[in-house]
Amino acid sequence: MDKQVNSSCVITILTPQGEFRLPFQPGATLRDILAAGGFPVRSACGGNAGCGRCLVRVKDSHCIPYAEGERHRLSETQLSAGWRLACRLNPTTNLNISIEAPAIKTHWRPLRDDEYRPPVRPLMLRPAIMRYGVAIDLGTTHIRLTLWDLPAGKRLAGRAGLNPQACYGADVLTRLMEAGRSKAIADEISGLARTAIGDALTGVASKLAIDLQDVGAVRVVGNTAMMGLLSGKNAGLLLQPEYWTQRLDIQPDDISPLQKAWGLSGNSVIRFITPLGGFIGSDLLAGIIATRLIEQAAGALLIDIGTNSEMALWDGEKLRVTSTAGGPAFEGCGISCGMPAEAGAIYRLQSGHGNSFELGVLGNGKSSGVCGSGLVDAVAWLRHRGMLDKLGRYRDDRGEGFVLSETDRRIVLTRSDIDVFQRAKASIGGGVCRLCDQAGIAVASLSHVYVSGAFGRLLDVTNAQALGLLPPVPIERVHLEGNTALAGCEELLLSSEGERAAAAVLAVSEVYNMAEDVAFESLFVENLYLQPMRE
Amino acid sequence: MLDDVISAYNEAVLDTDRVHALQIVSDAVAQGISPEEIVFKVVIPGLDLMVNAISEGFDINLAQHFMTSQIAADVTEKMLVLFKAPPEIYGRVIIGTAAGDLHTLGKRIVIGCLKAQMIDVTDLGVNVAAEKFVDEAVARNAQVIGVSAMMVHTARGENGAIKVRKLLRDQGLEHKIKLVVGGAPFRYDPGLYRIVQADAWAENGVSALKVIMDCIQEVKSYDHKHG
Repeated sequence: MDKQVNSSCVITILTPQGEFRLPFQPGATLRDILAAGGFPVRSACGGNAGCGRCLVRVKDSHCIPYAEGERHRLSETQLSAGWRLACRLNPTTNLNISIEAPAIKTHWRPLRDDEYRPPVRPLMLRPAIMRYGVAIDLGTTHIRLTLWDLPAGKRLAGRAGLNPQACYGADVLTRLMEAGRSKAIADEISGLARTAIGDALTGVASKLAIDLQDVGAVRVVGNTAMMGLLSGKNAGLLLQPEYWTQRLDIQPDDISPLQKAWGLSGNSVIRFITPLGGFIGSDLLAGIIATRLIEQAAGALLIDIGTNSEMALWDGEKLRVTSTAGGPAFEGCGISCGMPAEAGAIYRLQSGHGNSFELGVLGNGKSSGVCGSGLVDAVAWLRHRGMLDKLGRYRDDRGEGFVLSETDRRIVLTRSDIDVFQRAKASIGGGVCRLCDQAGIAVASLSHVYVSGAFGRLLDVTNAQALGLLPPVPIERVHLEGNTALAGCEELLLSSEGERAAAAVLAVSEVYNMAEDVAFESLFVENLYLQPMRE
Repeated sequence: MLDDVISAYNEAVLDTDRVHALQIVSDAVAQGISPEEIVFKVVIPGLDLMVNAISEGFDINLAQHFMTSQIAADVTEKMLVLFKAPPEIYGRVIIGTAAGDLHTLGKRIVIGCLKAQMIDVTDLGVNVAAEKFVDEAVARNAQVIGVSAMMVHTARGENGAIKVRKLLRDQGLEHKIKLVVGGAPFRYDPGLYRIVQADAWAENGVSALKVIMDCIQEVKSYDHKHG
C-alpha cells in the first residue's frame, strides 16, 4: 500500500498471509483504518458493534479501555484472550494486532448449469468490431458473469463469486450508509467490486488464452444501488424517499478506471443498463426482456425472488413494477437452518410411508441445511398434515420446532423460522395482489407467471400455491426461469433487438412504492396466512 | 359469565378471528355486560396478558400482533360511544415514522393498542421531521413522542430520534416529554436506543403499550412532584 501518511503511528498486522506494517493517522476507528489500508475486516452491521464480526486480537489488550459495545458482544473468555471489536477501537499509538478472518478475496468458480439460463430465441447478432463481450449480473450477494465470442454468438465461459462488498454490510441500505460516510469509504467499496470483476476476467482470459484487449463490449445489470456503488455515481440518493420511484443515472462519468482495472482497451464500451426506478434496477429489466414479458397477452407476471423480491405485471398497455422487502428467507441465510441451493441442501420434502417424509438432498450426500425450495416443501407438508395451522403455529407442543433431520447435522424448523418464511411470502403475495388490484386483473386469471431468482428451477409449484407464495393459476402457466437477469443482460450484449426491447420496456413501465401504500399493508397482513392467495 | 367472555375473547384474538371476537363482544353487551366492563375487564386485561406473555418468551407472530391491536382498538372504539360518561384519558402520545422513512405497519400496531387503552394518540404520518414531532407534542400537551424507523439509516440518522432528543434538550422539555423508539433496527441492535438517546424502546407493537404507559406515568409523577 503506497499511502503517504504524516504520522509515526503504525499498526503491525499479522494475518494468515504474513506480517504487514500499516502507518496511520489517529482519529478514525481501527475498522476504518484497516479498510482504508487494504485490510478490511468482516462486518455486517456498518460498524456499530451490532454484529460482532470485526474481531481483531490485540496485543496488550487489557491496556485499552473496553467500549460498552464490546462487553455486550464479547464473552469474558474472548476479552481475556485479547479479542476486540475493530469498530469500537480508536487507536492513538502503535498497535500490534492479528486478524484471524479477514474479509476474503472473492473466490471465483465456474457458473453451474442450474444458475444459468441460456438466451431463448435465436439472436440477431449485432455486428461486432472486437471479438469478445462480457455480461455481468451485479447482485448484492453474488456477482455472475459470462464471456462471449460476439461474432459467433457463443458463450465461452461463466463465473460466479461472492460480492466482496459484503464486508461493508450484508444488505443494500447498510452498504449505502457506509458509502455515504466519506468519499474514501465509497471509493473503497467501489474498488472491491471493481477488483473482484477484474480478477474473474483475468482468470478466464488466462484459462482460455485470450487477450482482454480484444474485449469490446461489457454490459452490466444489477439493482440500482449495486450499480451506483460500482460506478460511484448517485447511489447515495437512494437513501432519500423522493428517489424511490425515480430513474437514476448510474452510468459512470468516466469508464477509463474500469477499463484499466479490467485490462480492457480504451476502445471498449462499458455500459450500465438503465434501472427501472428507485432501487429496482436493470436486473429486473433484463428479466423482463429475457421472458418477453410485454410481448405476452395481458396478465403476464414476472416475480424475481430474493431478499428484496421484485415483480412486474403487464396488463397489455402498462407494465406495473414494484419491489417488496420480505427478508432473506429464500436466500439461504434467513432461517436458522437455511443455506443456499448447493451440495448438502435439503431441496425436496415429500410424503413417505404412513406419517413419514422423505428428503431430497443436493449432491446426495449429508444434509447440512435447508434451501428455499426445501423450506416451501416442508411448510406445505406440515400444513397438509395439519401439524401447522394457517396462522403459522405448530398444533402440538413441538419444543424447539419440527425436526427435519438428525442423522448428520441437527436440522430443526423453529417457530421463528416459520415466522420469517411468512413475512417473506406475505411480501410477495401482498405485492402481487396489490399490482393485480391496480391493474384490475384477478390473481387466478393471470396468463403467465414467470418465477426467477433464489429458487432456481427447484421450486414445487403446487406447494408454493398451497401456501400462497404463488398465484393460484393452472400450473402450466407457471414458468420457473432461473437467473433471468444474466440472460437478459446477454441479449443486451449480443443484439440490437435487446436494446430495442429495453427501450420499449422503459417506455411503458411505471414503478410503484409499496412502502407508501396502505392497501398494500392490509394485503401484506392478509398474505401472512399460510393458505392460497385470495382469488 | 364475565370469565367466559374473557376467555372466549382472548381465544378469538389469538386465532386472529376478528369477526368472532366482535360477535362475542356484542353478545356479551346484549346479555347485560356494560361497555365499561368490556373495555376495562376484557379488552385491556387481554392486552396486558399478551404483553406479559410476550415478555415471558411466549411466541406470537406478526399476524397475531397486528390483529390483536386492531381488534382491541375496534372493540374499544365501538364501546366508547356507549359509555355513560366520557372516559378519562390516560395520557397523550404523538407518534410518527422517522424522517426519510415511509413504513407504517409497526406504528399501526402501536396506535391500535394505545387507542384500546384510551390514550389520546396523534399520528403524524410518515417521513416526519424532528421539529414537527416536538412542536406537535408541545401543542397537544403530549407526554410521549414515539418514533418508528424500519431502516438502519433512518433509525440512526441525524434527522431521526437523535435530533428529537437534541430539540427536547434545547427547549428544556426532557422531563415533560419522553422519547420512545421502535422498529426492526432497534430489535437487531438492543443498544441502539441508547445511542440515539431515546428514553426507552419497544421490541414490538404490543410491548410498546406498556413501555409508553410507563413513560406517561414517569412524566405525571415528575409533574406532580415539581408542580
